This record gives sequence, structure tokens and C-alpha cells, in this order.
Amino acid sequence: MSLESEINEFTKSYYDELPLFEIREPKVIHFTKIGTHLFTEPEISIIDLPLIQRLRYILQLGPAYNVYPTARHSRFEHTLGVSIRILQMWEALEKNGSLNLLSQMKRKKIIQNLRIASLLHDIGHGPFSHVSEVVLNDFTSIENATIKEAAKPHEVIGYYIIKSDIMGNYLDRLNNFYHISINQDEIANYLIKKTKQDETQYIADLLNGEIDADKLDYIYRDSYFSGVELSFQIDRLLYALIIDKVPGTTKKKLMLSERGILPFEQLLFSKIVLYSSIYHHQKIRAIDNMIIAILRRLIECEIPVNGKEIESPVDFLRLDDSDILNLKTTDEKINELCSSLKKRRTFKRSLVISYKTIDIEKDEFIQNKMFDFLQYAEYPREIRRLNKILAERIGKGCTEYDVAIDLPIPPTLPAATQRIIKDGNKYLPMADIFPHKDWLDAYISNKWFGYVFATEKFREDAKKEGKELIEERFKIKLTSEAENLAKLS
Amino acid sequence: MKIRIILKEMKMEEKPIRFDEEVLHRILYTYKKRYPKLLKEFSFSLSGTYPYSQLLERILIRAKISRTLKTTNPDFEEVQLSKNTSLYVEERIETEFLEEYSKSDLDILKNIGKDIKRTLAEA
Repeated sequence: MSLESEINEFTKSYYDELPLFEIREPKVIHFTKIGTHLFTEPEISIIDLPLIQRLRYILQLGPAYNVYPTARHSRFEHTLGVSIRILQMWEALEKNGSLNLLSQMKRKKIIQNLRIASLLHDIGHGPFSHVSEVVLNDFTSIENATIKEAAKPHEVIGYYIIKSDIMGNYLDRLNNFYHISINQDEIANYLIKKTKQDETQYIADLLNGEIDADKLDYIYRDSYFSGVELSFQIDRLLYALIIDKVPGTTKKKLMLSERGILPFEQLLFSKIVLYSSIYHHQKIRAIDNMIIAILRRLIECEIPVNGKEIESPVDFLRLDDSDILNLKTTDEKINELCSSLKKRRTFKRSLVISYKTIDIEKDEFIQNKMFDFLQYAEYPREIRRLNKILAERIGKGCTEYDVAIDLPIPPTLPAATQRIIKDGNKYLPMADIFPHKDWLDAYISNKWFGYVFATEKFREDAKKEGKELIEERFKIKLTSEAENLAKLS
Repeated sequence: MKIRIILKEMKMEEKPIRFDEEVLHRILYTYKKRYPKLLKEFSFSLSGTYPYSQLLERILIRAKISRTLKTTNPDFEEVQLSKNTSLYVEERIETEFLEEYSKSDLDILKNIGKDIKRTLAEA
């Protein structure tokens, strides 16, 4: 069965019929920092759906609160934040005259669709957000769908949920009751950056593009709630938004006038700084790997969660963070991992891997060997196999759920190379204005670290066996710096 | 593996070249349309101003993390392949590639590299 059919069947059996809440008046919702905002009746009706309410229990930054105690904002707040940012972006485009060619009625319809799409854009997430995406990638159906749609696992899942029969039926009833015209196919497409015609690409860009409402919200929100202070002038960016045609095509895209260069630079830098300080923080990666171990063991040992085993990617949609944190099973290893998570007895570094911790002397092929090793990050199943081998080498009862070889996927900056800055008659990528892309690549290549993690019990053994395994398998010799940086005393 | 064969054919080991990632994405996309099976793992988003493959960008960043691909001037405009990459690709990568693919597939990848090199030189 294809992923699309599986999701269609799942939504039928799990949600039966999505309830249509008859909301009688718009509602005002108050937020810290971003103020008070109005949500229309159909929007409140959508927000009340179990699909969206579930997002209250999935934290935006997964287990990052173990390092940044205040980073406890959920996908739910982010979802509402995106719908607010998208409206601000739309109003900015109206003010600067970019939407003059559209009738008032057409504009109203587009923004209604965009607001609903933004409320639904994260419904495909599993527990602990991006952490469970690593395990989703173990499923061939996800691998195939993400290649086919050129989108991330949670985007593809969200796309298929919106395209499901249940959602179609719900949107029909919503349209009839509130006299609106939400287009099921269009809002589904926005999630994966697509539109029916090239002329309307800018609409999808507002939700999922180079400068989109999703980034405007999450970069600001992740920075604010973690306490990692970043300078990012959203208002200044809004003034620079324009819609223009890509030269030589009929494609209309969301672009920036040259006055948006500074806030756009801030956006790119902020994204990278968030990676090095939060998303790729060593302790957070260690905890991410514990969660990955729990999810993989649940699948492998066919252990039910809430009465149902995880047999397919859709089963992640039944779960949220608390289901994993409060898990009590008959499996000792899972109970131990869950209990350790709650007590913050985390995996610890046994080895740190980077260009600076490998022996580059006397090996003329060392860069290429390192490249071979890093490419393993594209094959989670292969890394898992390496984990098993490492655990076997350690012996003493060590399992693949006690150790983790972690090669974080480096952040990408597609926005920096797209020709979306309009300077006079020219359309430039940021890279032509100042080589940010290359500067940021250099920054990433110096800030990137891979790890071998292990439980306290196997930390020393994982250091010794990990070093030997990497040397035997990849012919890479790690220096003493790999241990020093792991702070293994 | 495939991208390294392509990079090797761009002959930038001895002399750095001015690098434009857009050209790599565009040419790889053209070849993906002609040889979808050979380049099956590369998916392209068509929403931008040029066809963009996130996998290709990730591979290029890893090439930089490993210093296989290095920026060589203060403006970061030129890049160079690390010494001995050609030898490594010929002796190891191409041999591994031929265990799974054919000689004509290898020639296609080499042609992609040559095409990119030519396009960058003309720019």
C-alpha cells in the first residue's frame, strides 16, 4: 500500500469523521511578545480539531529543554504564530502594491486558504518533532514519498492528510457552513512548495519558500524561548517583500527589494547560529539519540504504545511527546531509557569527530576517507548497522540501544543561492552581493561535529571500540583530541 | 560517490575554479530527467528560481567539512579539490560504483562533470 493510501485509511479509522465546530464569533488570542491577534470562526473551528490540538503535546525543539530550560514552546504555538506571520506578510504585500492586479475577492480567498494551510502545516509531525523524523526515514514508503515529492517526511505526511477523504469531507462541510471556499488541493500543495500554476508560486512561497512565515516564526520563537538571543528585524524584512517574475519564465515568486538585504542576512545567520547553539548542541544530540533508540526498539520488538504497535509511519500520528516520556512497557531496556530521559541521565560523549580530531598526517587520502564516513549520514540504516557492530564489539551486555554513532545532517541554505533579490533590473542571489553562502559553509564546516555517544556504563568501552571501528572500517585515525573534546576524564 | 566522480571530472585539483552551485543543480537536474534511474536519489524542488536538490547541497557541504573541497581565496569564490582526490576516485570510488552500475553510467557522470566545468568556464 502506498503512503498516500495508508494515510487515507488511517485518517478514516482514527478520526472517523472530523467534527465541525460551529463557532459563532471570531476569537482573540493573546501571545507573549507577538501580541494579541484575531482568528476567524472557521480558523477557530480548524484550531479545535484533534489534528491541531495534538500539536500542544509535541514540543517545537524536542528535548532541547534539557539544555535550555525555557525552550518548552510547542508546535501548537508555532502553528498559530505562522498563521499570524503569514497574514503580516500578506498585508505587507498589499501595502506595497504587489497585489494590485488581484481583485478584492480573489485576495480574500487566497489569504483564507493560506491561513488554513498555515494552521495545518505541521500536522504531519511525530513525537519530539524532527527527532522522530530520523526513524520515519527507516520506512521505505517515507523514503520513496520524500524523493517523489521533494519534501521532508512531516511535510509529505501533512500533505497526504490534507488530501485524505476525511479532510475533503470536512473541508466541504466547513466551506458550506461558513460560506468560504477553502481549496483542498491548493492548501495541500502549499505544504510541499507547489502551486497549480507557475504564476501563483509566490502564494506557496509565503508558507514554504526562501523567506516564509514558517522561518519568520520559528527562528524568532526558538531564539526567544531558548534564550539564545539573536538580532532579526522582521518588520524591516516585511517592508522589503515584493512579488516578481523570474526572468525568462512565467513563474511569479516572493522576492525582496534591495532594502531587505540586511534583515535577510540576519535571517540566514540566525538559522546557522541556531543550528550550532541548539539543534546540534552535543547534549541535545545525545538525548535525541536516546529517543531514536526508544522508537527503534518499540518498532523492532513490536511493543505496543497506547494499545497499538508501530508498524508504519502513520502510527507516529497517534503519538505525542508524553506518550514516549511516560511509557511503561514490559521491556526493560525501554523502561530504562524512558526513566533515564525523565531523570536527565543522558547518553554521554565518548568521542568527538571532526576534521580537527582526525590524524591528517601521513595519509594522502584522508579528506576523501572522511568524506566517505560523513556520507553515512544519508543512510540511517547503515549507521544503525554500525551501532550494532559497535555494541557487539563492546560486549558485556551492551546493545545498539546503549550506544549511538551520530553524524548530524548539516544545515542547508537554499535561500542564499536563489535569485530573489531585486536590485534595479537585476535579480541576484545573496551569494552575488556578499559571499554569505560560502562564508556560512566555512562556518558550518568548522562548527560541525559528529559523535560517538554511550550510556555512562559503556562510555569508556565505546571510546576504545569506537576508535578502532572507525579506523578499521573507514581507515580514519582519531587523535587524542577526539577524546579530550568528549571530556572523558 | 556519484558527486565525487562528477567533481573529479571538473579537473579542479591542480587549479581552483570559480564555483557556482546553481550551475551544478541545473545540470544535474537536466541529466536526472534523461537518466532518472542513475540519479534516482536526487529529488529537485522546482519552486525556486532554479531546480534545487537538497541532497546535492548536503553532499557539497560534507565535501567542505571533510576539506575534500576547499575555498582558496579570501572572497570564497574559488574552490579546489584536495590533492589526490582524482587518484582516490579512480582507484576506489569508480571501482565501487562499477560494482553496482555500468561503464556507460560512469561515462554519464563524467559527462556531467565536463558539462559543469565547461559551463562554469563560459560564465
